Amino acid sequence: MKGLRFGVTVVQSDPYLVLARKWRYFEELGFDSLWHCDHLLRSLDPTAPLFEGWTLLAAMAAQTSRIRVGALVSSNVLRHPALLAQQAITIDHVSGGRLELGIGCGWFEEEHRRFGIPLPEPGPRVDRFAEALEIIDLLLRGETVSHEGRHYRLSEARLRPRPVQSPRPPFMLAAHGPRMLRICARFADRWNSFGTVGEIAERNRLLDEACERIGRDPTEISRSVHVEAFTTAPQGLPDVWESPGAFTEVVGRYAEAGMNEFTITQPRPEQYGVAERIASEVIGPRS
Amino acid sequence: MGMRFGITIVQSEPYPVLAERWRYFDELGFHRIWHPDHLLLPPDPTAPLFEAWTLLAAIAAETSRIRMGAMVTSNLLRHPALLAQQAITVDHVSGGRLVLGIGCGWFEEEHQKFGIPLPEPGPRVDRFEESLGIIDRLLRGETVTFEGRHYRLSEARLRPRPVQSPRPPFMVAAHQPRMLRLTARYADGWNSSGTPEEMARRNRVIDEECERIGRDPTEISRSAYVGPSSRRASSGLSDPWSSPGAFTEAIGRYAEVGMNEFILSQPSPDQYRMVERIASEVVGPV
Repeated sequence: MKGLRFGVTVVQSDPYLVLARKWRYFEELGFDSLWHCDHLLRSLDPTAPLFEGWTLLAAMAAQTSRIRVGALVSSNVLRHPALLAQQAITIDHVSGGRLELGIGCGWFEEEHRRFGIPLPEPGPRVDRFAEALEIIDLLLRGETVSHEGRHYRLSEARLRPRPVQSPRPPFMLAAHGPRMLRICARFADRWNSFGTVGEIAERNRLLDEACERIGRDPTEISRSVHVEAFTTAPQGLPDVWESPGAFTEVVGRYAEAGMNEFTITQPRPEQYGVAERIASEVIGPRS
Repeated sequence: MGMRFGITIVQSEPYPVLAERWRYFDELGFHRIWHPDHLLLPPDPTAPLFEAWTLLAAIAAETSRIRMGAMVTSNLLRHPALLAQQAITVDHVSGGRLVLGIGCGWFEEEHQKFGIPLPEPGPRVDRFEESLGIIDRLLRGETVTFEGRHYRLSEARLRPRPVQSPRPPFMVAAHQPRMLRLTARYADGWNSSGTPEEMARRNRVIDEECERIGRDPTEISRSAYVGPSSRRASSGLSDPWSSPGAFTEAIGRYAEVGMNEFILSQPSPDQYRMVERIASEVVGPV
């Protein structure tokens, strides 16, 4: 499938040695990117083991050599944007320029309540996200930043070294609502969402309009959709790991809606045989 | 307890150079690799500086025997739960080789430039104390409910548990009486820097506090930073990397006042041959 990119999410709940083996396996199969989440508690099962997103990205970077790496997505409310920027620079260097900087505004109430980390109301949370992006963007471009915002204040702040990727690692922003999509139009290199084909097509259109309004070429932003059974099954779509045909069908439906990048929940171990066929027959060789 | 030797490798060099250094000191038999935790490097805020905790995971992945830690993590840059989750992660990536270095935070310039509040010394130590208690319990796998002035947790628990049991050792940086008393309560290792006389006094404060709270003072390892030349000069000591004799002398002066762990600044490249002699003659076999 030409022009399309495929990533796999490997949630960081397995023992470390198993994770490292999976990372190398998906890299060897030719997938384009590896992703995991950024939470204190795993949202689908808060009692499950879960390694810290950013330290584990460094390990992922050190254990792989070609595949791109990122958090899908980093929560803006867990760290100061300068710390996140310094972490991003570090991973970009450890990986030799393979970081995808995934960020979202934060949402998982339970972890905020249990650990006592304030979760602002949706409005201010998005304000804070926009401010953070502006700061992270400037810091990663190597600029000296002075910023007087409602949430952050910086005064002649600068980080070194500069990232390996120039002008900075790409921003993969998670957005579903109109206001977040407008922020994407401003800052994103890639946009990520999940939902039905119809929902995704509608958001895609909103993102195009938001780009037009600010005079940005909408084709500059790649469109990435997270594919998981809980969104495909209710639409009557098959599990992507069922067969190469099922994979092609699901990908094709979202591609028709304008999507060109796919982050897919990892196959179960018994599906590895099919995943290998999909890798060689559908995804094709990678450089 | 035998003597342990750690080396500080400031994360200002290109990544492949750092990785080479880590493996070099791992192979030579040194016991720990340390680096600072800052947004800006205190002696030179314009220098490159990688983020400490992500880089600890890289040290863990690039080495096989040596232990690693931040000298020391600033308590003010991250929520204690995030720090605990990072510690668990590095402990797993390293197969149980993390030393959790931590201090209360101090570098004004980074706080002022990046707009991260730096509390006054009193409240800063209060906050550090709350944080240590939370990190300790989260790392021991407990479900934590805590109502403090700085942090509030409600049935919070992290998984998986660290590799090391009951948790990775805490190396607490402390110089003043109140921080030294916290060290006596929570630390597995204590770190400070100063002249041998200053270290002797601080060592006594820890011993006294241990006695007061009924803790065996020998449970806490005592580490001295034998680093910057200004301090060496004021102690009348020469560069420890100049010869095995100079190394032994510098170490000996601190060992006499009760220190059993030593943190050295990294040698300059022209001293590497001497480092190899010191490693085999003084640090001892791996």
